[in-house]
Amino acid sequence: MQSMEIDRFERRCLRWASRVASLSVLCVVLGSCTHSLTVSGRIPTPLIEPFPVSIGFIRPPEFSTQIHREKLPRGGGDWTIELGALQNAFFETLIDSLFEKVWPLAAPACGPSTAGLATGERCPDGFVRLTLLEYAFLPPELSGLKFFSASTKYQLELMGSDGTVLDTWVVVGYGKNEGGGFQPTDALNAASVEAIRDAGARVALEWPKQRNVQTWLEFNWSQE
Amino acid sequence: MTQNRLCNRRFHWKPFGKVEAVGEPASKGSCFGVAWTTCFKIAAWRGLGTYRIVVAALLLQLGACATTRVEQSRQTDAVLGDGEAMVILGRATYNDRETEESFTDCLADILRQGSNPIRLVSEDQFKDDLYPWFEARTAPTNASDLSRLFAEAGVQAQIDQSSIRYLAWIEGDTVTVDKGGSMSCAVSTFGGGCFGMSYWEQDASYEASIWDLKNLSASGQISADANGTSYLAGLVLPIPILARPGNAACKGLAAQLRVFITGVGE
Repeated sequence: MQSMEIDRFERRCLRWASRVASLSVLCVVLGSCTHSLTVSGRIPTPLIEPFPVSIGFIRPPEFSTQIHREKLPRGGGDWTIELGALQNAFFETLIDSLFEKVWPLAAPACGPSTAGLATGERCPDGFVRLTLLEYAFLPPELSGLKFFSASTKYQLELMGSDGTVLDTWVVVGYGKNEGGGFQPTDALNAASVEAIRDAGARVALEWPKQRNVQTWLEFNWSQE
Repeated sequence: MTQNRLCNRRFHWKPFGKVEAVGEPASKGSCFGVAWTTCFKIAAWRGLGTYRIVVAALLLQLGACATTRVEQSRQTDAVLGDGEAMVILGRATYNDRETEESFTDCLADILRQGSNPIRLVSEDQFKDDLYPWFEARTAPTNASDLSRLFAEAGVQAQIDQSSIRYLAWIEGDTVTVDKGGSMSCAVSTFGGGCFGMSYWEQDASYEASIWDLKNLSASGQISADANGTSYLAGLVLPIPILARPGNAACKGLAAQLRVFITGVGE
């Protein structure tokens, strides 16, 4: 009688153990389809001569906390990519190197009460508003290629000292990295960093050559 | 031009260094710690019979090799001076083929070692120090662009500070040119195994363009082409016999690059 009860107990334990094991396997399978990534990388200081011009640097509040969420088709999984922190630090360094004096501001305004502007400081020669318009990526499973690719689309809006929009320029940065089958997040991180760097390189070298930007630079240069 | 035939040494790996360290006979009970050739011989001589000896001997004949061909053209006789460094950069393109990072890493690893090591500045460090001038989109495409680049503020000073004399651009990749055969694996309650044979032929083709950053000119080119066929034989256990032409091309190119840059071999 007692041995029968022990048998029943053992069977019940076995049943529970198999349920727990199945559940664990299910969790692992489901977990593997969700990817979370905080984009991180080195932030280089551009080797460029700054323009002798002062500027107010405006970014929308969400620029430093930008998160890209996407559910990819055909079993590509759910992706959560935090790129705000890196892009914010990256462009802060870039704009700092591009101009002689930079004030991080919330809006294109100048006055005694403007946050970010020290008392007695003269107003900047202009303002630049940087916005991330789009971030996109493609894993090898969807592209059919052997690498991860990522792109970033930014808009730079140049405003004069009175806040009038002088120029709007859209730049796309592209990056790719050989997709390691077992470390897809590492490959996507490298591709995203490359996309931000590429956009940054174009901002540093191509944006000042845009006609309206060049005119504004030359005008303020001569005023210095 | 030099031509080499490099046979794969994968079977000479010793994954369990600890076993050797404690002095246990490496051949005891497994093939780890000794060359596979030795292992086959031991298995044969331990009474597996003459029939199996023939099979083992046939397997040994299948050792995959890669044939490498290295060519060089030189425009100057200058060599690396004391304290001078070199940087190896993989040429990035926006198409689907690009020099693998593993290839430039392999070259750097070989050149840093040996009796005649070369001082190398890492690719990441170099690109960061000279940002935004050496990004995929902005990097100079030929040596004649160097004078324009060096006229930019700070570039010359940065190169001088790092004492970089040579820049080697690496272009090329490894592609599978042919494949065939078939292999199937099965598992049942009585056991499992793989049966069949598959093969793939790879072609590795790389070129190094060497630029002299002191004279702002091209110094020469070295090209390395390697090809080899790898096999995967399913004899219950899948037995890979790999040729690794990418590795062969890396070794060939690195050896020639060392001679080119320093004037002496390893």
